[in-house]
Amino acid sequence: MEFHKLSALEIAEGVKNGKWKASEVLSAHLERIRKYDGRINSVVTLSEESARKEAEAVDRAVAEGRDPGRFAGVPFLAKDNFCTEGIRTTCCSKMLEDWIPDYDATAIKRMKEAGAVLMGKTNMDEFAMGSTTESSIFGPTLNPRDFGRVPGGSSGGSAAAVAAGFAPLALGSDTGGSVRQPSAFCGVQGMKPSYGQISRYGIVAYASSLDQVGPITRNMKDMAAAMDVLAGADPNDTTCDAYERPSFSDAVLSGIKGKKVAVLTGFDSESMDRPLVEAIDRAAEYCRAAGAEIVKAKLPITMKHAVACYYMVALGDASSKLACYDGMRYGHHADGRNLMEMYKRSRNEGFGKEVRKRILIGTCILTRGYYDNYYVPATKVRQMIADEYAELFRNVDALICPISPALPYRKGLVEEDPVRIYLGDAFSSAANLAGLPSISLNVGFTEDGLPTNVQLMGPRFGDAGLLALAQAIENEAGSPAVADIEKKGGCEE
Amino acid sequence: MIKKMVMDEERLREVLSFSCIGLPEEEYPEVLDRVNAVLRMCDEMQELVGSDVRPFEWDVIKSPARRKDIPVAWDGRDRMLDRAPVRDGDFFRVPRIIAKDGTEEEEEE
Repeated sequence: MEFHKLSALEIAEGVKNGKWKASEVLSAHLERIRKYDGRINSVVTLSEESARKEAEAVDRAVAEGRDPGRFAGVPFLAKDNFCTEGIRTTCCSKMLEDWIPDYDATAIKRMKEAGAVLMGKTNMDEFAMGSTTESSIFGPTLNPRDFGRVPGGSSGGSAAAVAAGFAPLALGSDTGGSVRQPSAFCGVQGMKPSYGQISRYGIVAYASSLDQVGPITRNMKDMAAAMDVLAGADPNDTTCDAYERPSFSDAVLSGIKGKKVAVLTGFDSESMDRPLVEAIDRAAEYCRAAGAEIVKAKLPITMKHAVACYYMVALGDASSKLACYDGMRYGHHADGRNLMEMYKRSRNEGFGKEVRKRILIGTCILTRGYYDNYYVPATKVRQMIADEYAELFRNVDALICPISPALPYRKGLVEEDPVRIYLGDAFSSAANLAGLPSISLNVGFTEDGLPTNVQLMGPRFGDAGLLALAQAIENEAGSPAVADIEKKGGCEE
Repeated sequence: MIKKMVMDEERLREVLSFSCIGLPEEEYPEVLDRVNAVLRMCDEMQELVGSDVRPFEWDVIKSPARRKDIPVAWDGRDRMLDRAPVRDGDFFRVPRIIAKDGTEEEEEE
């Protein structure tokens, strides 16, 4: 049985009706990881012992006739910035190299309560700061669709693992595109729900006003089921809204007949990779075929200022959040001759180059002069961007636009041209600034086998409608298959 | 009116001190280039906003119930002590940072 090709819901269905056991499914996925991840490097910690216990508990529940949960026996992975009880959580940084939390993040807890089995933690850019998964202390992750390219980031390990068939579902976090861009680069489906949809309790923060938990899957029905499990109020996260959620799994099947869908225009499509422009046209055609009306839309403020605004807000937040890692209260400790020297040595040794630079920029923009001239204007532009989307969604139900201007980058570009990498966030970061739901959806592959994803966006808390749109497009485009890593030489240990 | 600001070496030293980050001097030019490139990206935002634009804030549909502000029993003491990097009986052993006489030293207690 090729368990790695099954969806999460197919696995759960088989476990529930006794067709196969959770332990059997787990063993098959662990074996695949051991066999093929040596080269891809998407998983940084395997928690085999606890996973076996969880799988056995599911099998016992089935044997005793109890409800094993929505995701009975579904193996999943989580980005290494989710707190996991008894399993090290490093943010792929030396700063937290040996940290073992004594509690589960709410998202992890909900997945386990639904019967899912946590197999381990995935690679990421250090402290989620990056778009390539090359700045991890565990080394870079390779893109399973093309080993010469990066998987995107910062949740590159999660996206690569789902694409490689190591798990049907993985969790990531998205601050400016960190779930959606790697999903695009690896040719899988990734969602950043509305701000306030899923609890962030137990996620190591990058920039709290932007961060959101996001599932990564290979099809939209799994995505909707994951949303049903993960979304909901949490007294441990007061930013998580308590509104009554609809059934996302029902909504995903509701269709889009009569809906009005806008296609973004007014951006520099000439500088984008051509297959990604064609992907937008293709997605619009699929929507039309499913009964939606297609219109055009422009977002001039967003297109011109979103990246700059995002970096001001994110780096300001980050410099403040990461101040607690001082070698005494939290994180790696290095001795010093005095207090300041101890702080500096601990932070210099603990943080990698990219994180140190982002902290410096963030600190700079929060200092006298820069704060008034850069940070405050950014918070106002952020409101203008949110207003621009609110106005758009008064007239249309959803928006189709690019998620990345480029196909997966070749390895090493981040060292050559970091500002170009920053500009890659132009399309993805606006959803975080305005708190909107956004899906990175695969609509096929180039002749060279590179994925072409588009971004779907909807109004805040319009997650259910957005899932329906994504499903309608997926019905036409098909859901992406597991990457053919066997033929790409990925079997080297 | 746009106030283009540029980070120079003097300001960089100040920011390094604020952020408790050390940086070898040979890396100063690269960091200054990078910071100033980000600032240039942001210059035009200033022109867009007037004093009547309000800063961003989140709105909520319904605030979640908060945890009750009451003491709760906690049974994780032994588990936490078991996970201490260096344990000394019922205590965590941590590096000494400030000496007894108020001067700072590196010696461990």
